[in-house]
Amino acid sequence: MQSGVDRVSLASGAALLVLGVLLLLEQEGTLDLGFNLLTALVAAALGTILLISGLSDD
Amino acid sequence: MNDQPHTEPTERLEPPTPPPDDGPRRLTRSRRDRMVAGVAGGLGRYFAVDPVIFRIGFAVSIFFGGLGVLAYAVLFLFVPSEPAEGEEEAVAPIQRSGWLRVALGVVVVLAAMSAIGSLVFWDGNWGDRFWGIAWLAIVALLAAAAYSYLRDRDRPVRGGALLAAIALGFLAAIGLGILALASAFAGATGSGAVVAGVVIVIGLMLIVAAFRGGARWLIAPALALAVPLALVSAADVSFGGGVGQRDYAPTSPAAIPDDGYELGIGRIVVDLRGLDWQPTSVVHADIDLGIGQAIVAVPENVCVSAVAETKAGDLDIAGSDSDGFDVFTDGVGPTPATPRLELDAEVDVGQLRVLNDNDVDVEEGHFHRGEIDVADSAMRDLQERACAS
Repeated sequence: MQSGVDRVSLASGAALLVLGVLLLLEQEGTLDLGFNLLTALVAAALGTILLISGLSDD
Repeated sequence: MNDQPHTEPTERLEPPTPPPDDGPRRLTRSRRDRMVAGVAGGLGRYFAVDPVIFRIGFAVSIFFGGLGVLAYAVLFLFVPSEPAEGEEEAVAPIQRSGWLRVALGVVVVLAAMSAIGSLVFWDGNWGDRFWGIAWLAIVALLAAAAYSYLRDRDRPVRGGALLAAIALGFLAAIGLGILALASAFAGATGSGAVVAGVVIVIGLMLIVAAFRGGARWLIAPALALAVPLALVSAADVSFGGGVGQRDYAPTSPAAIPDDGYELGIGRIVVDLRGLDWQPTSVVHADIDLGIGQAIVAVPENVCVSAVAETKAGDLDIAGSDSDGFDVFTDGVGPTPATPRLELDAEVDVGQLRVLNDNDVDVEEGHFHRGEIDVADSAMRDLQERACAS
């Protein structure tokens, strides 16, 4: 990865993009992820962002 | 061999620096022998064992509850990487970043809220306790944010700066809270796709901004939108029927609405004890509640045949209690017993209580008035007797 990239923004953006798409599909009725899977996905996205933010050097 | 006497000036004869291996052996993560974070490489070097053995151990542990993965994560956080060239001392990730502490603090607070909430949330007087815990969490987060903001400053911490940091954090928390409420409301009223679209746009903006210096300030509002929407979607919460307290006490079956009783958020009480129950009466009632508590009261001689479900919460039907996620009950199932209440209830998140007690005061369960105190075993006995008739 090139040095000018803000990894926190990149990882958070990717996590939010995936979560947003899943939520859109869920809202439109294309997907029915269920309570357990959806909350697990939210936790995974949150955990990813928190860890990347926490481990960032700057 | 040089026979000449040693002529170096005495002031340069300093005691030699002890070699690094004279001190206690220090566990560090390997920089050269690393596949993920250098934990196995560091362990291998520390114990003089081939790191592959540790790697296999971590990989195999995935299939046995994932304990090895947790251990790897803990080692990663707490064991420093070996010093890079020119670096004096290695520092563990957990020591390096204040944000990690904040992040861990958030996780711990949320975990604590979850654990405590699961214990006390649904015992009747949950309003006070929930907000008590929520405020505790907010105060903890504000303190963590203020600490993180001020920790690395060279100047001593001043009261004004601390107050300013707390005030800013408080304002940010209010703003994010409003966003979260708006997101939850949109999700529960059928407009969640718009919010999901906004989350996608913010995600794309963050990715683009990452190559132009970053825009981390967008993360918090995006999460404030995404998380409540996800929770509302997961629980399939609908806010139809409004918000608040609803009390119904129909006196005849005709007074029960055909489309049932509906409430978005709050407490709904349907007291059927004043109904004109005949020995052969079969009464049907529907209840649809988004978030909150639903109470149904029937006379002791009425058999309750309930089909009920909740995405997350508690179903307590005539003394038979079941709780958790995606809970469903079909009660006593089809029965010819009369008089009979056929209840069809859906509580997205919360509690449904069906009380077959002639004397119970349903007002007891209102906010700030304590728990409705009825013995489950007594209600189960009455239900058995009523459904056997």
